[in-house]
Amino acid sequence: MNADQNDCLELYGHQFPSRLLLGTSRYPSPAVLESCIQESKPAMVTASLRRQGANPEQISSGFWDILKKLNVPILPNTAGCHRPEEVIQVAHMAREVFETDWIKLELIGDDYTLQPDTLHLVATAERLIKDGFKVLPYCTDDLILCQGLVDVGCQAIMPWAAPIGTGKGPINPYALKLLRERISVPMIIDAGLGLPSHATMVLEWGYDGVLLNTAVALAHNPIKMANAFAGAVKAGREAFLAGAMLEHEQAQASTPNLGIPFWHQS
Amino acid sequence: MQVIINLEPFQTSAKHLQELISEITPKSPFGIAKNGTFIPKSAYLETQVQDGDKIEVISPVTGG
Repeated sequence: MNADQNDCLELYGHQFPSRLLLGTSRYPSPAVLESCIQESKPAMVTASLRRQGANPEQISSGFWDILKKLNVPILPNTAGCHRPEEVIQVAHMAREVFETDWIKLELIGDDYTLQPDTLHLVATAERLIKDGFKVLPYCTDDLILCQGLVDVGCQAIMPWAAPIGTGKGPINPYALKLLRERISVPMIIDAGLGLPSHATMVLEWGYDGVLLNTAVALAHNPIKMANAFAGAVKAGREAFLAGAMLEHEQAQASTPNLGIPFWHQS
Repeated sequence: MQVIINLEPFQTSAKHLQELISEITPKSPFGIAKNGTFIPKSAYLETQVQDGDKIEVISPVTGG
């Protein structure tokens, strides 16, 4: 199967031609951000909300103009929210401002690791779903947490590979592989990826997509890196669809042994 | 009366949120919260402004 043409990412009944979701922060300039989006053609780009005047550079009309110009689907986040009620309020604001029901649910439980508040995440997701949102929750790789999110109606979830912005890649492959076996809804690896090979790896494991930001934005050449990630995601997905060979403990010759020249002649 | 808009004091005689918004003319697109609660656009006219109200005016920014 050609992953480019016949294999779409499906979230909440919507189909997306790409399996890459791209964050919009920390780029060297709005122009570079725009080029990265054009190069990588992500399924969605993430955005956030902040007070007007709080950060004039970020709140320039340039960012909004880019989003409107490129007409790429927007996934608003609730970044920085530490209490469920904050999440709910920001989500409702985002729905009005961005004119979308999609929401990346971020409920931060620890400022040092930016680990999600796993004790309140499920109830918060449930409330957003009841309010009509299409919730994509940022979560850990904890199986019971992820199952809880699915049970309250999340039709896709987004476990981390590593803490946000670390670029470490999957720090617990065992947990992520097990999670993929046990959870049947689409899963997008969100946070912690640093290299295109990390993206390829998780797609090979059967994950449905990746969401990344810093790995592209802080690359020496973000535009090239955006393109590299787009290719890596396609490669990983095609490999998953192709089905990998079984790993062996011992060497197995690729070239046939029969008829080896000079065999037993000395 | 004095309200707080994005952490800054602001003198106003606006009776409702619609009137206050016309005074401060936020950059579009924007969203409004009053005392920690989101106020949808459809409710601006019926939302009274009172002394000490804390108003948040928010806008799209980059995000991950």
